[in-house]
Amino acid sequence: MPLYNNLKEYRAKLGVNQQQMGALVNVSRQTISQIERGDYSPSVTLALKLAKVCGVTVEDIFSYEENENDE
Amino acid sequence: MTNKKKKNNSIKATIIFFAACAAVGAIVGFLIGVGEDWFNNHAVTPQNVLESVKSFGFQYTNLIFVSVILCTAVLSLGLYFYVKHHWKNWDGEDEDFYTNKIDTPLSCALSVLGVANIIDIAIVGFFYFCMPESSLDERLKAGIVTDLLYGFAILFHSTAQYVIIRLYKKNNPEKRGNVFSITFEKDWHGSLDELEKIQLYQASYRAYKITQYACLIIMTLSLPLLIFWSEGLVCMLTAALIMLIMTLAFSAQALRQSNKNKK
Repeated sequence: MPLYNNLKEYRAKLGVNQQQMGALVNVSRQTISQIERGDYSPSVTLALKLAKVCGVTVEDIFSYEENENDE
Repeated sequence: MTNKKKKNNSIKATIIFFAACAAVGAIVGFLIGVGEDWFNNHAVTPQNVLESVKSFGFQYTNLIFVSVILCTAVLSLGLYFYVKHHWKNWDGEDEDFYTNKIDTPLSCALSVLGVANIIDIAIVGFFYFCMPESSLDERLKAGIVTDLLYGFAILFHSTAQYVIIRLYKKNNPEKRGNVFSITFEKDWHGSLDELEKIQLYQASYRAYKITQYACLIIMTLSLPLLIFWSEGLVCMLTAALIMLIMTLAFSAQALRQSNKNKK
């Protein structure tokens, strides 16, 4: 998946665990965990919510890199 | 995977599917053809087989019922206590630990109870099917133990589901809904986030496709039942009805969605 993120680092800066982060953006702990592992690409709404909570822009947390194997 | 490879794979899958259908059709046809001769040669008539099944069912259904209840209890409660034990050792972050030791066993426990609920109804139905012909009063008297067992099984399964979901809610405080409430499914669905909804819809679509194939197989297998026992009509019509309802519900939802998109 070509979407990378620094959510774990920003969450550590905020000093909250996955459960608390989930509660801040109204999602489950599992969703936060899946995003951090790169297993799930969040919706635009959720990405914006996460950026707002972390006090940064969406681009600071998420970055898209084109994969050469993708057509 | 490229589009060309995907197309080749789908063509292969289609050919395999039709080849499998043809093979099943050929086997069923062969069995129907030789079935009558085989039964006659072995002095086994369809009526004799049915009588033996009914006699076995009437004698041993309650014993099977008790076994099912015991197996369900051991499996579901065993998984519940396994999760409760590991829950204490979880650091709140290790996803692999959570998935393997908490989430999967809890889902398995709930699946076991869900399947047991269906088996319970099937067992009660089978018992009344196997019961010898008699008056309604006598039939109700003979079935009182099975009815009591069924009542106990439903009570036990509901309580076990309540306890397991309570533990799941403890792990996931954002989840809402009470198992004993009629609005449970609505409340639970309302507390799902976007990822959980995607997972739920993917699972539902998979279940829809599998049920469609299962209905097709049941309808095909009902044919020999109809030919030999004259008993498969209800089975075939039920499978057809399930398929019809599912297809209509799916099409209605697709239409609703497309109208919503137009607005």
